[in-house]
Amino acid sequence: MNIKDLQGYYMSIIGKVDKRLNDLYSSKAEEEFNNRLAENGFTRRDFLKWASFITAALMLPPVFESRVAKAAAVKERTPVIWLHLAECTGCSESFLRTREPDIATLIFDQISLTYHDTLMMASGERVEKHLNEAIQQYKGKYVCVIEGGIPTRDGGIYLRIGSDGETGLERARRITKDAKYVLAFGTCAAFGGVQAAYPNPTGAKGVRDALGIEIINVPGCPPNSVNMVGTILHILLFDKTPPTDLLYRPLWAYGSRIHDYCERRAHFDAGEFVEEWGDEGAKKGWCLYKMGCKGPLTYNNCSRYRFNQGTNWPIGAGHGCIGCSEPDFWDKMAPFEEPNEKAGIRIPGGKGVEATSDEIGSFLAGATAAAIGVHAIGSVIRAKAEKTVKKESE
Amino acid sequence: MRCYKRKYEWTVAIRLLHWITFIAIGVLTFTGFYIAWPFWFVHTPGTKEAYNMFSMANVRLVHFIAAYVFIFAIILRVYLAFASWIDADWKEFMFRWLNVREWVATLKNYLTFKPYGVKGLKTKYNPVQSLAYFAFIVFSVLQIITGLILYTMNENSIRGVAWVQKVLFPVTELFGGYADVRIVHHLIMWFFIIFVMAHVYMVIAHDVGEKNGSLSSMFTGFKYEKGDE
Repeated sequence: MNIKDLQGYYMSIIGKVDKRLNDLYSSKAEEEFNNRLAENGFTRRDFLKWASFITAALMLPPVFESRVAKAAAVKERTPVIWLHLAECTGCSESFLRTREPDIATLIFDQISLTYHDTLMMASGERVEKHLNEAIQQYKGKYVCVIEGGIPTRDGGIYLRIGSDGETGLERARRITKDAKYVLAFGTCAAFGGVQAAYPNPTGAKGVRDALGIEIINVPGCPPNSVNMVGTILHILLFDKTPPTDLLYRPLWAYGSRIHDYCERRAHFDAGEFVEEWGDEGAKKGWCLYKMGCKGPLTYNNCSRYRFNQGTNWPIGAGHGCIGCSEPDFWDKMAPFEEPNEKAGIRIPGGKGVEATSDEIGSFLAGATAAAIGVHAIGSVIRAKAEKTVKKESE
Repeated sequence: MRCYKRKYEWTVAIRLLHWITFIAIGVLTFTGFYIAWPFWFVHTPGTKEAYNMFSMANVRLVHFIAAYVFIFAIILRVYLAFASWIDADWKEFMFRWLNVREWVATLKNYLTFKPYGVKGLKTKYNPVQSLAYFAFIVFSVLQIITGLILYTMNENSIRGVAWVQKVLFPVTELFGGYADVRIVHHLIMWFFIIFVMAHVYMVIAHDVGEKNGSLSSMFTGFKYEKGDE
């Protein structure tokens, strides 16, 4: 599927979307929503601007703008259960980190966040009771968002959550069983993340690998809030998961590389590189490729939507991309401040000795040159010796 | 006085492909080193910046053009190995190096610094050559595959679009992600460097030792064999 196919795909389901929105539409809900907008100081124009931004971000055809606006006012509240497993809550932080309450925050009053470990007031056994009630009540209807990897070694005993001391593995299995959609937010939930890095003592895995279920990955460390909001909105709008790439990431967000839309890309093509931190090139904002930027290997849309409400992003702040939305980035993309050129390769049998590909190559080339030298000298000596023998025999 | 017999060894097509591949490998290796670590910077005269200069973009363009030349040269060479009317040598590539007896004879010669041809071997390649050329084809194919994965990463700017990406995704997974595909691509380049070093030396050694004109045979097509005395 490419951009044009994406547009064709959405045009083909537009009838269904309209039907769904008409069924769910209520003028009362829209009025309430408009009142809330006005209370928070947003005009109708602000709201429509936001709707067209989300339409563009989701790579929807322009005719969907009015439908996105309409979806904000549907009467049905989608229940969301948000699980925290082995992780740092950075994804929730990225999700909530706003300069001021923006329209997305208001939209999320439209979902019913039934359970969120860090945001809810209740604790202890009350929370478990509440969770079980929610699962029973919304069986087969709720969206399960998972943040964090799942330790799987020794039956998953390295992660225990809740008043019952349930392992993360059991908990994830129990709650995802009755979910309509499972979304993995963050690299840990998608691919295992930092705790799955070598030597991975807890056997941490991404949700898809650990449970073997169909999910949508929204990786990143943390992912852009646009990607998280957009994925949930896509489900609100279409009651469907977005088309994904080969690693089950939404195409609209992870369809292109950081490098392809980077603001410093022109300097890459021109051959203008930062050579060391704080040099003349760094001051001029040249390309960070030689400082270890992994943008050419990383699929994400940070270069377009940035972080913290579009304030800035790593490359804008002068540090290269570390490839956090790619599988095993902690191992594969390291060292982060050196280009892949300097990436260490573990030599098997060498007790974990690391060498770069060029070191290995130069060593082998040197060995070849030495062998050639030995053979050449040997051949010359032998030829001379044979000549002498011949002369003597004559 | 010994007389030498002229022997037609290389067809025109093989000679052409040989030199095309040689140039392509030279260009690809050099530009590849630049892409991995951009080691020069062209200032626009009078400034300290690159205005209207695109060294990285140009180097990449050259790399990709040479890569296409290399791909088609390898495809044609493999095709000729199977389908040439005059000299279909696929058996030489694929099976000659499995012959243990010939290995012993050849290694005995090389390891005792006898720089001349192995007696009793009348075939086109000895087992060392056969293995080296077989490895060359295998590594070429691997290099082409890893190169295509990296090259098509931005095709249409949408992952999963590029059919090449889709078809080769199992290979990407096998190597463990794009970072490792890049490392494999870089390591295989060192195979080509080492291959060229050893190949050139062996050709010269045989030319000097055997006086069979193996160095010029890739231009003229003719090798010389010792006739009866």
